[in-house]
Amino acid sequence: MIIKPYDKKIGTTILRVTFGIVLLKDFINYFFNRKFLFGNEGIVSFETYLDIIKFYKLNWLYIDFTIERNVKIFCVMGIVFSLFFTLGILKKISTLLIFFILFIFKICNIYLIDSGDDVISVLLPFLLFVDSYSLVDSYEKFSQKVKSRYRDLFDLTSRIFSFAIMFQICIIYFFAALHKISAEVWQNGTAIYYILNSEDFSGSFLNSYITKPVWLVMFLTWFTIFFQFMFPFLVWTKRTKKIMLLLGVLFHLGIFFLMRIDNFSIIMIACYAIFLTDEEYNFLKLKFKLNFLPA
Amino acid sequence: MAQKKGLCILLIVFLSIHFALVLLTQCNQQNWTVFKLKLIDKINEHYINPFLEQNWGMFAPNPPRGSQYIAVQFYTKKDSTEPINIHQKVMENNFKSFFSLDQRILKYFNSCYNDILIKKAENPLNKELLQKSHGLQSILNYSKIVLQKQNLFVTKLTPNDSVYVNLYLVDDPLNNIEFSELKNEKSYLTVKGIFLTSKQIKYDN
Repeated sequence: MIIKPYDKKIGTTILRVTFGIVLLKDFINYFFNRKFLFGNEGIVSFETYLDIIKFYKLNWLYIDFTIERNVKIFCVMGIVFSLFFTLGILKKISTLLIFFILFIFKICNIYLIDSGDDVISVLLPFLLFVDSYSLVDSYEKFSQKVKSRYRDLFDLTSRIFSFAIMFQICIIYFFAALHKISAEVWQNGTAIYYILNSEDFSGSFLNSYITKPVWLVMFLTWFTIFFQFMFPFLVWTKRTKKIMLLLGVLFHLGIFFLMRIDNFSIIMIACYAIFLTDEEYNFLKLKFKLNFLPA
Repeated sequence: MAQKKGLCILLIVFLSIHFALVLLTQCNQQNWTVFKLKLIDKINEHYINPFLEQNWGMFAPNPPRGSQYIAVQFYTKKDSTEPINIHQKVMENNFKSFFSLDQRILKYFNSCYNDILIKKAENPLNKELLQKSHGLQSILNYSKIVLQKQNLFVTKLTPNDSVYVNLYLVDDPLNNIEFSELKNEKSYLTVKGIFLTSKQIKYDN
């Protein structure tokens, strides 16, 4: 059985680094706000955390956040391992630890969790088995040396699990579209009017202008459903892939600037990185002189 | 070679089963009767949740329609504050900078609001059960932080004073797009007289 070399290593690296930066930023934020996020004084009641632990029988993951030292250690571990994860040092261990640290944060602060956290959580287990570049040259050389003996094995798992990541992203879009199709305001084309004008998501002065013409509201509402529904089907063929990814970037930039849902938008755009092959990146690198990309 | 092939098959089978279970639970979330099975609920409870939770509703079926916020009013036997909109400042700060924690706080307000609303609808008359709502407990914790900033009110507290709080869950809907002249009416739900803290415990320096 001949296994082709893994050809999405650059995309996987971009995906990992972006996730890592988002996680690093979040854990630094949690560290400085730890007084409000953990323990008896936390803004999410400590009983919520205890009840979730009890309900899912997760005693082995219980950390007593009423002790200040535990909170500090937890946050520092989050910062250190998300930094390792970003740089690509001890990739497998840091991925696994970040998964559990993020999970513990999620059950401890369930009301603070956004969709971006959920996307990272479902993709991290797959990322554990996908090869990517380390940002530290000496570590990358050492890592290549170690992996060279098991090259085929790494290529095999990387190919299979990178497909799993792409499939999971398609599931996200497909079911997001299905949830929308069944709802009245999405069917009648007015949902975007309500979202862009609701207080929490009126992120720019443009929102009120965009939602004035009814035809534009209807177009944007139905475009959202169309894009999310079609993405899982059209992203696999070379011809339509680029169009879907470009539309996706515009779609998420719109969410970023108009609704100010920043983590989720950045994470979803980063997810697109894995849909491009190294060959396509090298073409882009030459065309746009993107010298920061690995060769 | 046979080992590689075996591993390849094993991984594909494993992932196929995983995604089959994910798809089943996703279909179950769509409320399609065919997928409303106890077995799928169990898969959700024991496999997908809590580690690989997948809720991709994202503004569906019902997107937010206007403004929903919580106002808190602190009082003692002798004194009280005005109702304070705890949402307003966080929302304004959120729009001032990208990637701030305030975005998560907004999500938190929303989740607490919905949790209190659900618990209140389930047990409209039972105050004890309502107090067990995680959303309510969380908002009470947040209220303690808000209380510390009410200097005028806090300085008047005597050592024996107990502080109580009234919560107002305000729903201020948008005008309908089709009939922009028509204003939907603002409404609110109250949760009154919850003991919050005493000066002796928290605010003696």
